[in-house]
Amino acid sequence: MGGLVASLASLLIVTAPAAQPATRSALLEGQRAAKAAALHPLEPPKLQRILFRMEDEYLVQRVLNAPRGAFVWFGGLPTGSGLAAGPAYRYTGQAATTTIWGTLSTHRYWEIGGTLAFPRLASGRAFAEVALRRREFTQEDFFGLGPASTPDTEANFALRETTVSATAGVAPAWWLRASGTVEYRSPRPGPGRDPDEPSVEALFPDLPGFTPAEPVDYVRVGARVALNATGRPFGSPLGGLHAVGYDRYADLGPGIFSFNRWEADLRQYVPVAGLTRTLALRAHYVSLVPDAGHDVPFYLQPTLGGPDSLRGLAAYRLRDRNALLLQSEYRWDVNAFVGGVLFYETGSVARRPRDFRIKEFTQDYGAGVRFGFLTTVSLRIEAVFGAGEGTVFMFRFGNVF
Amino acid sequence: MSSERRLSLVACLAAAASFVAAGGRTADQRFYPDDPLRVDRDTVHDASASTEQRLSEAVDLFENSLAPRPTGDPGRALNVNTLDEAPDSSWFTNRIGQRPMSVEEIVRGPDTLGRLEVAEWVVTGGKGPAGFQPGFRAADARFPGQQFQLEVDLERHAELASGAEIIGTAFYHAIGYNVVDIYLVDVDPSKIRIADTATERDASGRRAYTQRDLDLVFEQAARNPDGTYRMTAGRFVEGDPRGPFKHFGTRPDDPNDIFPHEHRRELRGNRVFCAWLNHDDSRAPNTLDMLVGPDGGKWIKHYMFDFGSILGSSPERWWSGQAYMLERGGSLWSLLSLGLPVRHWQRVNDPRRLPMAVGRLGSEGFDPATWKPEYPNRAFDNMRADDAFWAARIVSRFSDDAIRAVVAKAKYRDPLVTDYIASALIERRNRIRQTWLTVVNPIVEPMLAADGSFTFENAAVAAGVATAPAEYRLSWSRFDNVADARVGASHDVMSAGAGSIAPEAVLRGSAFVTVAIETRHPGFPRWAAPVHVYFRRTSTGWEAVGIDRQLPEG
Repeated sequence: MGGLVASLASLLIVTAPAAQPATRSALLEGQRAAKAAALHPLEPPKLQRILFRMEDEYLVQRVLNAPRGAFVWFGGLPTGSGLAAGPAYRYTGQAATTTIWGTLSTHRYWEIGGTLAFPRLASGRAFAEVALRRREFTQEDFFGLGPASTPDTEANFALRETTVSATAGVAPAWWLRASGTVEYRSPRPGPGRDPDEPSVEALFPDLPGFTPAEPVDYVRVGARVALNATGRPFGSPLGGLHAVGYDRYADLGPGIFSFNRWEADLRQYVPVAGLTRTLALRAHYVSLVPDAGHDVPFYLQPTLGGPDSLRGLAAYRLRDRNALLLQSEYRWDVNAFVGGVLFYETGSVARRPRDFRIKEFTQDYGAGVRFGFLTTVSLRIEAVFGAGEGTVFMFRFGNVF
Repeated sequence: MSSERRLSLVACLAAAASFVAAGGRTADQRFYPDDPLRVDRDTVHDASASTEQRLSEAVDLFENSLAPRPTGDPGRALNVNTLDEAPDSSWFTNRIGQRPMSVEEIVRGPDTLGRLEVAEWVVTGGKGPAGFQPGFRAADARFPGQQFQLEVDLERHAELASGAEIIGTAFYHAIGYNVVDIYLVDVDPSKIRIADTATERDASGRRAYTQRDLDLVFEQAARNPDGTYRMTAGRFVEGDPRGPFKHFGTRPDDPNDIFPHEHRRELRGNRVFCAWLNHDDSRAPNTLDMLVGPDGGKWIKHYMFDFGSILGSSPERWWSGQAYMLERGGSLWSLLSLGLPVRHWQRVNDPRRLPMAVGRLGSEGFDPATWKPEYPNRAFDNMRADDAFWAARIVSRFSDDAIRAVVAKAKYRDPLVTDYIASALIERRNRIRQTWLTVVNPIVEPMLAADGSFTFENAAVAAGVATAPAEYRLSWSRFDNVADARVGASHDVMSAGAGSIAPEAVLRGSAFVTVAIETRHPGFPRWAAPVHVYFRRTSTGWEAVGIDRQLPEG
């Protein structure tokens, strides 16, 4: 009310025929005196106060990824696990960060774990991490092995696993990162618990590794090199992002499931007439090569399908020892926060590399809208067609590649 | 908006309008004895009761992006004096626009120190959340009372942000804004000590500042060949922070703040300066109100700061200077058209072709009239031709030498970078001259001598962006200041040059005279819109007291 009084007072000063000031300075002084007589405090709207507090106190980060103390662990479980969340706690010291968490999903997947990370050794040129995880996935989808599997044979299995790993690496330049990992794994598959689907043993009685005579434990020793020549710390990437990896899975149990895993993930982002249009290309190949006389457990074989690979197929729809995925996207920036995308992708799986057949490749295509800012795609909405298994509409957090 | 606030705004506008109304007109006289006001004394009333404005960046973005855009003429800027100039105030101090500045003075800018040399820095705290540039707060071990904010350049963009900060600060100071003094320093990490009391604030709250925090700053930073790090050191100014100022409305707790910000000349005209320097980050969060002055007489001084992202120094922001982050209308078309229509500016100034110290600062594709900040603000939206003309005259006064010297202050290692940025700024200045000095009838510097000889300047001709007009039509009249009206018959004089002799019949016995100047130029038909100039008789001759620049239609 005070502001109104002051304003009306200043109106009177302007309009009153008498008491005209003698100078311009006096005129302005009168207006300021009137305002001074009825100041009122800043009263930002409630929404502004809330948003300011969220920004000023980093509340989103504090809740979801606090640098120290307790926070909420969201997600982190496989596609199909449902919404997952749980408590987490982080302690950050001078050189190391310790994080522990537990999470439970709506489909009763769960994980507890902890990491001890040294993210910036040698002035940021090296890093190391040890991790411990115990988890259970209750209803992982399985459709059979090989490209000829069909959605009609959908089954599910459970997987309980403990892993202990140590990773160390170097990043001598911003564009180069190399690391090595040693990991102990004790996967224990079991009957699936999805009440709407049969368990795998009902449809696939001879799956490799489902019911071995004795438990299969692994020591995995691996190495990975990544070249990041995208050259832009912010914004959609341009240039190449190439990574290759090798892992040796040594079966510590029955001695019949040892294999080597090779992976190449080659991504190229090509600008099209300026920086607002990008052709994003990706070739991703995973190949598991068992030792002579050995096999590869089905649950460790690579898969295709789902929101990040062949989007027209259900998650894990294709599975075998070898998986090849080729993706292409035409992306264009609509504004700073929204982008459009058209995509085409194809891929297949095969028992051996020479078993790939072009005619067996699954293809799909689609269009979508993405929301985010600079490097981050927060949400994507996509419609996918052409895979022969129905049109798929998806809402997903995060980018594809 | 509540009815009370609406009424308050109307009343405030009405009050402020009394200052200018067609160049200072009031109910019973047009010009006061102290017109033209050179200084707006907006520091008189004690503003100690003011509190810190806490402005959400998200709110500022959406409030400005989604607010209705003004349609029609927003009216003349309310804080201009009768000569259509922005007087000195707590917002703005006329510098290069009103007086000669040597190149050395322009380059020195707000610096209070010739050179900042610090043998040992003592970290007093983290930088906090703002901005992309890693940094910290520190003081010279010898002078712990003076705080600086130190920031590095990112490894992949060496010299980019620091150069922009130095250049922007110097230009904005010379233009007339309040800015903080900022220095380039080479910092040896081994000569930094962390104060026992130093703290950092992150998402988990406040904690002790650690060596790890300091290491993290330098791990992300571009390193000099000698192992030191190039940093900017911005001095903390005196006073108590009162938060950013908005580009609309007034502060209800500041008695001196009576002109709605969207109607302030220096905030409207800032759009031209921002366009020149591609200061697309010219938003409220990069401004700062500081409460300064003695007890009982404190006032709010309005600063602009954080020029680290000018000169297109966020090269990934493809929209920089060309499009709002949230474009209305165009976004749907862009989505539906699959982004296929390629606009001209999307092909030019691709930073991938430039040294990493250069941002998106080409002159090709630069149109001062269509330049845009990251998101709209009401002061920029309200910029009229006369606001732009005022600003363009200031930009025009920066010589090539001055521009090159300011860019050289940034000490780029690669001379090609210095040349590129200086050349781009010179060309962008030229385009601003061409665009905005010609948009109105560019009559400036009118002078009427005691003997009746009348001279003026054509700013566009003087800047070399237009040929001399075919002729000027001067309509002289006596002027009744109290009645605010012309008196008697007008005497028309045609002049081929920028001057003539005022009719004796008009001058004789007059306390005030006025002349309406129409400029006849085949290339600029808009110049036919007259400029009305008012003179007051003084003891020694005549003094220009008013310029009323009539804006052409359209």
